[in-house]
Amino acid sequence: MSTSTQNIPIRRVLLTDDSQLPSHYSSTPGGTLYSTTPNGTRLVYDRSSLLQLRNSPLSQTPPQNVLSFPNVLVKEIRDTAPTVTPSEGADSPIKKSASESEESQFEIDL
Amino acid sequence: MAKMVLKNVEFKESALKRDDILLEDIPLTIPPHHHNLQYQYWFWYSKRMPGKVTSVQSYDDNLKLISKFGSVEQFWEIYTHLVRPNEFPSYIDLHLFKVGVKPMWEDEANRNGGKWLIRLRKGIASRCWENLILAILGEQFMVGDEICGAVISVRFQEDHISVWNRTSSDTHTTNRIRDTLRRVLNLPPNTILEYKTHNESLKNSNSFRNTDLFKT
Repeated sequence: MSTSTQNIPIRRVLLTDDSQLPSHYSSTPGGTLYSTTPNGTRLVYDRSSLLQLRNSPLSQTPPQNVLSFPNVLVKEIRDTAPTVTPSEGADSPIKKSASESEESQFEIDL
Repeated sequence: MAKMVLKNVEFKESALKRDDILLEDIPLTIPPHHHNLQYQYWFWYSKRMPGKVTSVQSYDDNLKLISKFGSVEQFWEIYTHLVRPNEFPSYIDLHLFKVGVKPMWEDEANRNGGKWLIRLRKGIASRCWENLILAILGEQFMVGDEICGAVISVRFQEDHISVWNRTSSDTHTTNRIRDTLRRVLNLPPNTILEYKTHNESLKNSNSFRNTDLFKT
């Protein structure tokens, strides 16, 4: 059982003048300009792949310190009635999803 | 960092400020299966008091770290909870910078830098800002580590977006940033992009932002 190793393919694109750069920088032959540099790969994401990752379950975790965000900048706080304290406001979506999953588990147990 | 700790001792700042220092120092951990970004970033927030002379001291105090992130997923976690710029109250600045670079001229990374400034009519800031930060995070500018960060400033009659880079004298880089901005922001035709070195803004004191920073 031997694992075969392979070198990372490197393609060098030689440019002698700025004018040879394509108008769309991400469209150099062989990928982006930086993905072909010998020093390694640059982590490049285009808009659509970033937007796609927005739907990933990993992107749905509430940020850890959301309670310390400035109130005017947090959707949940701004959208809640003024009578609700900021901490409750920020917590509400989290609590809701937690209770939903608890309920369904309870039903399965029965 | 050392400066902030010193200040903390000197002025006995609020618990909130101490939280900032703590948050600033906490190393970021990226969970497995996340898509790492080329750099780690942090969001800062500040509120300007219209018409008030702002000293270095109060600008610094006014600046609040919101959160850090290093992966695409962590970015969305934060971003989806944030109010969009179109709905910000006036005089709010939201800053997105690389971790380690504070959104201040005095920061080492900004000292020799400058910014592209775009003035936007009301109503399009949210779209432009989202396009901009996605392009920054996704490394669409292709200028190595020249980008320091970006700021959205919501004002009464218009909004401002600026992109800060390290070396204002590097015209190859600044031109490339400008061209990328035009391409990714989907700007209305005839939008004017102005480049200002931080030094210049500092001398003239008429840059829209940080204008009176050095008046003390």
